[in-house]
Amino acid sequence: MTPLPDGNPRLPEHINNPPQNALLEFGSLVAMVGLVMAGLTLLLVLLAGLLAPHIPFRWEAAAVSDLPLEAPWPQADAALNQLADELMASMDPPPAIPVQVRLLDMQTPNAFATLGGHVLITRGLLETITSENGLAMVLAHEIGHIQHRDPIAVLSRSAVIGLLWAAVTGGDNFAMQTLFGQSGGLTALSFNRDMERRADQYALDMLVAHYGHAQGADEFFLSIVADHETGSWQTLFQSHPLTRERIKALQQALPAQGEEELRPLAPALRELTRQDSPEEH
Amino acid sequence: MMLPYELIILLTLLLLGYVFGRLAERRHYRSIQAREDQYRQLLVLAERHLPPEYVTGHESCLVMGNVVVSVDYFKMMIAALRNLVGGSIGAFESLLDRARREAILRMQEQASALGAGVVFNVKLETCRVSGDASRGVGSVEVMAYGTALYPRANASR
Repeated sequence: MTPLPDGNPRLPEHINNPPQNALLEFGSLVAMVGLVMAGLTLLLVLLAGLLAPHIPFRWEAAAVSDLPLEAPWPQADAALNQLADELMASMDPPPAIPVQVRLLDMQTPNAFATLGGHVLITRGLLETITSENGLAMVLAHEIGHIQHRDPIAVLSRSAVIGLLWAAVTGGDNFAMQTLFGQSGGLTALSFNRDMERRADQYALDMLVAHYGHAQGADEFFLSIVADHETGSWQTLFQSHPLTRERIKALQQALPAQGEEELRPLAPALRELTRQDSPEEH
Repeated sequence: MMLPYELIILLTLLLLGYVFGRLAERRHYRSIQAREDQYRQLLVLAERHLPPEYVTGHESCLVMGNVVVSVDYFKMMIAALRNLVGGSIGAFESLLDRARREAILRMQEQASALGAGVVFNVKLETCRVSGDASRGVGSVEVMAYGTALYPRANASR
């Protein structure tokens, strides 16, 4: 046995504790992972947008079946559905996907197109509208979303992105989700700029096909902009942030001269509008 | 525009973890180096076989030093990111380096209390004691133990 040493040696520090700049390491890691994630997200968004419209509509319809929401005004629903059917029938060729309209008892003026060819319109929206033409524009716009398969495209987009985030962040890692999940918020279930523009154009074409003109198409948008000046409808503006831009585009598409005849709303709808129920305000 | 509060909270936690973690690490390394100098003469050896002169003239006793360290938020984040791209996690290396050396120092303190001049057959054990691996947080125990040899009280016997 060798003799014992005189003392414990003083070993160099850097062997087991290499010098490092943790902040720099953190920054480069975030940049690297962020870049790859952004690239993958972009790719998935593009793929989802390209592929989703090719999902057969009957699969989509089978997945959502019937609307669980109650129908507070069956007669108004019937009138809305009739208007939607007339609008669609005026197109040549008529759109392939059937649409069902439902009036919701909500005060916030809004309209949604959702999966399964369902269009939801709030009572609040009905109250901002005075003519059938204004309502037809809203309906035609949502029909446009449905014919373009926008709801399923949006759902596919957020589903694949959600899957990507979950795979990378490990599902329940709060820190990672917060760090990278913020950009995931951009993928909320809303239609993007191009989808809105395309649906607007589709709706204008539909109005012209049905009425012979697009007069009154901007009624709903003008009304919500006017209401927005008073500070309400924040929520609506968050889901439709491009209203002003859209009004401008719409007005350029409207007939330049002359007041075309606007049709009145169907009676079942008129009795729910602002003029006929002033006591609710 | 709505402020991303979660992100702000996260960045604050990261900054706190970084600043305090760094300060604590520097202070700890200074303390470790000072105490290692203090125990320079109290030998720590991995050797299993005792020299013959120790067998007759010395008592032996188990000594151990134990440390539990926790990961801070900043280290946790770096490790989580490293998990994606691979590579060594330097932040954990320095943490465990400190833990091992601290454990050995505590073992030496026990040995020193016995009046020992040498600890033979030193071994280190590491074990996670709390936390959830999937969330990246947790505490690690590092234990050093060995056989301390100190002169018999009645060495002339």
